[in-house]
Amino acid sequence: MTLFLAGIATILTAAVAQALFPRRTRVAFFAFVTVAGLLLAGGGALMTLLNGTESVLFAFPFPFERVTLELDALSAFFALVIAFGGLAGTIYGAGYLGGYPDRPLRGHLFAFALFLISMLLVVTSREVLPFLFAWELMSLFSLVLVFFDRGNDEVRDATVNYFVAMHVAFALILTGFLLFMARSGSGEFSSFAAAMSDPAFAEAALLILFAGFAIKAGFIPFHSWLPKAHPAAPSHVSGLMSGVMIKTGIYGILRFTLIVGVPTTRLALIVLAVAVLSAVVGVLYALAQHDLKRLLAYHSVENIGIIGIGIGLAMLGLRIGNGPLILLGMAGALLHVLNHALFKGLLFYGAGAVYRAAHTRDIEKLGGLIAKMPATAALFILGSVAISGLPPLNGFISEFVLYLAMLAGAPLAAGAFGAVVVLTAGALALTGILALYCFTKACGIVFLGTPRSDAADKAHDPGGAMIAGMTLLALAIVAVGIVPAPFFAAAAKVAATYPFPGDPAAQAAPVIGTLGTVSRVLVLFLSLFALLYYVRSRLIVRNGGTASDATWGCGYRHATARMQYTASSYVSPLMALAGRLLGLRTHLERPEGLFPARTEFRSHPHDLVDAYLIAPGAKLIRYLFSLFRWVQSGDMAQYILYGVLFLAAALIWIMGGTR
Amino acid sequence: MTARALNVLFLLIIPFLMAGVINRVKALAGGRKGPPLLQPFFDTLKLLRKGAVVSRVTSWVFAVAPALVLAATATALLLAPGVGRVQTIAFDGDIVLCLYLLGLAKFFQLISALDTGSAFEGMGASREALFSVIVEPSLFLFAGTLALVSGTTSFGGLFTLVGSGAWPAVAATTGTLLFFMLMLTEGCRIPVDDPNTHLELTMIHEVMILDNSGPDLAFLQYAAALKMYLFALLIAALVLPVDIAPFQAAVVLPLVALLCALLAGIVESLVARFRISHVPQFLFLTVALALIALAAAVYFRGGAV
Amino acid sequence: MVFRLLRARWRHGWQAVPDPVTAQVDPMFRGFPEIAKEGTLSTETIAACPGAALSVNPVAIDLGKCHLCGSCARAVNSPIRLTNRHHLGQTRRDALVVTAETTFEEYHARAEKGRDEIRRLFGRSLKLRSVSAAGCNACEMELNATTNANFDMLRYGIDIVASPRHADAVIVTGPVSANMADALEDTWNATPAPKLLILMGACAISGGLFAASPALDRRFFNDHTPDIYIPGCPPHPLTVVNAILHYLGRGL
Repeated sequence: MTLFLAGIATILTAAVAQALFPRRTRVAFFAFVTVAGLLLAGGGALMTLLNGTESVLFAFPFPFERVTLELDALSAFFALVIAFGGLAGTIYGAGYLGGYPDRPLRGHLFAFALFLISMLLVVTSREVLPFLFAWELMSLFSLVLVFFDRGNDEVRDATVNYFVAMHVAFALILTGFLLFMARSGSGEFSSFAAAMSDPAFAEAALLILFAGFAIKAGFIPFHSWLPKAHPAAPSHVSGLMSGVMIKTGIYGILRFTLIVGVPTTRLALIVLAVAVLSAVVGVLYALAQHDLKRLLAYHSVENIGIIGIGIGLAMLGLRIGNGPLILLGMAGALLHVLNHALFKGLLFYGAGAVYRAAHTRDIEKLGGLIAKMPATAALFILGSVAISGLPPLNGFISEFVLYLAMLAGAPLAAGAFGAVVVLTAGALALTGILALYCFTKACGIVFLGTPRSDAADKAHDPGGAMIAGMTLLALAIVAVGIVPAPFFAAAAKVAATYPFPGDPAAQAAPVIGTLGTVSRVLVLFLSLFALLYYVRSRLIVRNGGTASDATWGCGYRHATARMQYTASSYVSPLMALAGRLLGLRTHLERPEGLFPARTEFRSHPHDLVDAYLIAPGAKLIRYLFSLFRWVQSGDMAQYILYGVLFLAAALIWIMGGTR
Repeated sequence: MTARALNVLFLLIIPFLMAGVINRVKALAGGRKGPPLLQPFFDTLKLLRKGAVVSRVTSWVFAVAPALVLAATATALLLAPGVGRVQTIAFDGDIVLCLYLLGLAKFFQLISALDTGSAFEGMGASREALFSVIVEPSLFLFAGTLALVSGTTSFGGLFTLVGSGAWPAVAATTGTLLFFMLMLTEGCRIPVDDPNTHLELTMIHEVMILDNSGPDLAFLQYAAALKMYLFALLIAALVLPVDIAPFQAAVVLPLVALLCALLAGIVESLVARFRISHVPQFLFLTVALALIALAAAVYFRGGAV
Repeated sequence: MVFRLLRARWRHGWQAVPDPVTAQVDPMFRGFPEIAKEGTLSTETIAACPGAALSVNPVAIDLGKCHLCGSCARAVNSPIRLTNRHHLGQTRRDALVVTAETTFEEYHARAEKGRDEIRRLFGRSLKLRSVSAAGCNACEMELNATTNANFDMLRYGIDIVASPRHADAVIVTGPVSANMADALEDTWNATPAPKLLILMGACAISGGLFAASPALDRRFFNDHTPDIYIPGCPPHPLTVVNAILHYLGRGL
């Protein structure tokens, strides 16, 4: 705990001291100290995860009075994710900010540090007020970070949207807390368990709380802000927001499930349904995107859905007393929290490198970057394999644990619950294969083939710090993928803190053994691959070597980059099936005459939640406010009249009170 | 041990024979002599002794993809139930690793196609990806259904059909149909894909490997044959009696695989390829089959809701 | 529906030529030209040869140019007689010239077999990529016929494939127009080594009827030596099959 607090103090030092440094060394100093702080904080969290819960109590003046910071297994796990994600983000960000030599960045760096600190505080706070304070700090400082590119209209709109969404979330969470406090009479989270005496009440309160956290996490239909804010933010921030910050929403859900419990089965099924919806629809929306960072943002929705599937299964397990569902569902969800932080960070950083190099996020204008930026391309492809949940990388491990939860849990679940679990497995499979579809598109169209624009043709790899930040994440991705057992053990330790039928350690042990076998099979696979590749290369050399030639184009010599398959055409068969479901709008100018001069086809993905939920809602609110527009007439006499009326009313009230 | 050794041996022989059988059946149905049974084997041997032509557009992705695809597919096959449902490697949830290794193979097959920058190959990749999207959930639904009833998570246990009432019969029927359809789909056979077409616009699998040559091509073709063999293995595991003696299994298993190939050949001789826009409708049938099996499982399993 | 198909299949019976290597073609088929020692060719006959394949002193026919139309054989006192021998494939361009001394057996004996390693490599599997370089589609149709139920070249492991990357041989039909020169070059370069070049039909071998046309661009053949020549206009499918089989050491 001391280490953890020392870490926070170090980051705080970095936040303040960087302003004193000259611009030339400011970012480097900041990154250096912040990394040290994150290492300390992460080390503290790791020690706690190994040794057990630790807490520290601070006395503060009103209104906080008492502030408990506690690291239990759950908090430590999330703190570790934040620390490691923040570490890679800081290193990458130091490089990325090199692209803005004329910005002083004092405010940006300060916000960045405070953003990291507030996330660490969110996962360690144990009372309502400090939690909400840290939560709001996190939202506000991330808002400052998103609003980096101030001249851009799109960024401003996204910032406003984000601001509103975060405060709707805040209001919901506050309402939830107040409901619990009404029952328990205390602002300490641990007292909230008292609400379980009335399951219907606890269910309602938890649902409101979940809705608040779901906005932060980005579950569908609460995700509207996410695909706007993530692309608008500079890439080192997008990576952190998507990889780390939205996980605080997941943390909230897990924390209050742990404290309060699962009052009704219906609640578990609702969470599961929302999660499945987020996973499948999130990835479908991602497929329709042409903007690389928007595509990644929708994948965050998908991955939050996968995490939610684990949580939903675990909640169902808690209700029906199903050991594998609780242990493996929860462990799978937690592992995916870690894994998503790793690969989504890597992918956003890769997208940032592409944006820096080619000045566009439009997939259709990229292509062939693997020749121009080999390191970024290799790292992005690695991240793509990982996010598609494919072995031998980390994404596979968490999905494997989730499948194991479902395969082992289904037979123990009575009646229709078994079918629910099996259907969830089908939905997860669908999500996985759609992610594969989407990332073959992202890798293939952005990095492979030939450049579709001059900018893409002139791109080059970014400098050392950005590559280093990405490499760090890539190494972690490989480590979790090939040696999953210790990571699962850590997640299982957290899962075991939930009320568990039987001995959690005894149930986790065989899974650890299984993961050992998995890693041996993966090593076998990699060796087989290396052997086959060696054999193939030797054979080709022996048989006369490789001749270099143009891509076979059926004898046609004048193929241009524009004739390649585009991202839209790559996904068009699926959009033909699911386009209407996704609100895909197309615009076609048909060719006319024998020698048509120009024709045009455009397609726009369109978020149905935005179109049918957010937009009408905003319209309604605007209408309601417009009813009061006469209040603000701009006429000075009218404002003076308000003042007089107010004074008169106050006078009457005071006089009434004294009588 | 013997069973495992046989598994590996079969892996090296039967996929070629299956491809050979299909072509023989088609030749017979067409009134021709047709290529010899071992033709796929001869083709592979020849390709391994040829050089390669590589497009200047391609990167390392194109170079590593064939070896990676074959390695992933072969490893997946080692996990599948072989002789007497004995897997070469078995552990809890091996079915997930098996199917996801195939997914990895698919990933690299698709991006290797996109690596060439050819519109044809992009088109093939796009179609292949769509078809996978439809069939993948049905596989997991069916696997989950088997887990629901058997209470195990490993291939060997999942595919040992025991249970009350008509469940084994229902599971065997739906499963066999499902896997047969998947065999045709993933094996790129009619009615989903036509391996004999020479028009790039109508191809699916072949157009993705249009630029691969020599040993790379041999690897990819062997991997495709292995995938067909995988589904034949799953069918065999479903239909063969639970208590089959090991040496009987060693004889019967190749026969079942070749019978699957025979049926595929007959289908190919009798049916024309679907219009590509109609293939998804065919593939949705696999999802329907998996859901039927799930409904049956819930029914026969009983218990309170 | 299925039964109708099965009945149709039953009625079609067995159509494959039992053994394409020993199969004989119709007596009416115009094949190998025999030239008698006595007899002369009139200038009109020589002028009437559409491919300018005839030469005098000594009387000779260049099968690389000959369309086997038979107009020379029909002339009065012609020393030329077209037999129905159809095994016409050769491996050298000059071997295609038939003189008065050349019997069919001698002609056939000139056709070489491929090198040992080529025969070992392609003996059981040879994939062709066809390039129709401005052909009239006669050769293309006959080439197509080699894979049909009758001639069924697939029985020898010889097949036509879509991509040159998958091919072991490029088979050229047509006189190679300027517009197809690049495509032919590309196809050749796209085929992995070791590879064979096969010319099918008089047009491909010599330019045929179009030899003098300015629209042709046959520079490709300056750099690349064909391995197999298959004369005819168009060649009979059995001629094609046997020329390839002979080269692979599997024919007569």
